[in-house]
Amino acid sequence: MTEDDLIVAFFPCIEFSCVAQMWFSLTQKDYAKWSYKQRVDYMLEKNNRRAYMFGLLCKLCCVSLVKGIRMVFENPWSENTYLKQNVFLKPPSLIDKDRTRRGDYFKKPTAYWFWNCEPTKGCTIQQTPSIMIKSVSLQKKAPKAGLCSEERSMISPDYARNFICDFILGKEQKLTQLSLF
Amino acid sequence: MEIKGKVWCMFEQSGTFKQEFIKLGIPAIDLDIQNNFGQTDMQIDLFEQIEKAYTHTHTHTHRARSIQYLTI
Repeated sequence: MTEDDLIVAFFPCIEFSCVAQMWFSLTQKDYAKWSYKQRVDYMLEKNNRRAYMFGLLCKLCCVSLVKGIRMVFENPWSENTYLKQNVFLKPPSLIDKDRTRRGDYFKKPTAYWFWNCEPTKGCTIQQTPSIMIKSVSLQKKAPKAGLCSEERSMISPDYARNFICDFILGKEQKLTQLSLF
Repeated sequence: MEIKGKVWCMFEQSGTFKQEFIKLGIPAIDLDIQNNFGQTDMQIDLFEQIEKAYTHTHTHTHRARSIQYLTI
């Protein structure tokens, strides 16, 4: 990789999700048949896993910064995710509160961090018809706990294209809204 | 931004973005530890690669860039 390249990283979010925070409550319903020690042991294991992933993310950002490689990484920004609740390297460069406005299947607030570059300021409106909008909670779960469900992670090609044109390339499209000034 | 090189799309859902970059005329590849859909260009342990890159990164001072915060 060189400074002419761009990294676009969909960094694993399962350990940072707001749902994952529930594992740190003693009264989590899945713990019903566990002893207190079993619950705390599991919490410590989850904590270590989350710390590892957080460290990995910080290392990735550091490599990008030091080597001067441009990078955009994304992570969910709904409710109280770990990155949202805690201080993380820097605030997101932009937050998409409603991805359906750019043609995605889910509303799913999402944050994007830009490193060694800044987002361009396009605005493509391609509202997904309400009948086609999906709900994350109604999608098929991952085959086992700790994995991210593919259905819940799905991104539409329309959204990908609109995001790239609006915030990475600054490219005007047919549905791009022009600004008055 | 202008991309003179290629786009490296990493982790899950990277294939969707890769395809759109290519359609827009920008070379792109996707990398992931899995290849569930048979479309991953480079099946590689990204976690290991990040750790290696970080270990071999030399520290030197970087002037902090201005931070923009945009909510849409």
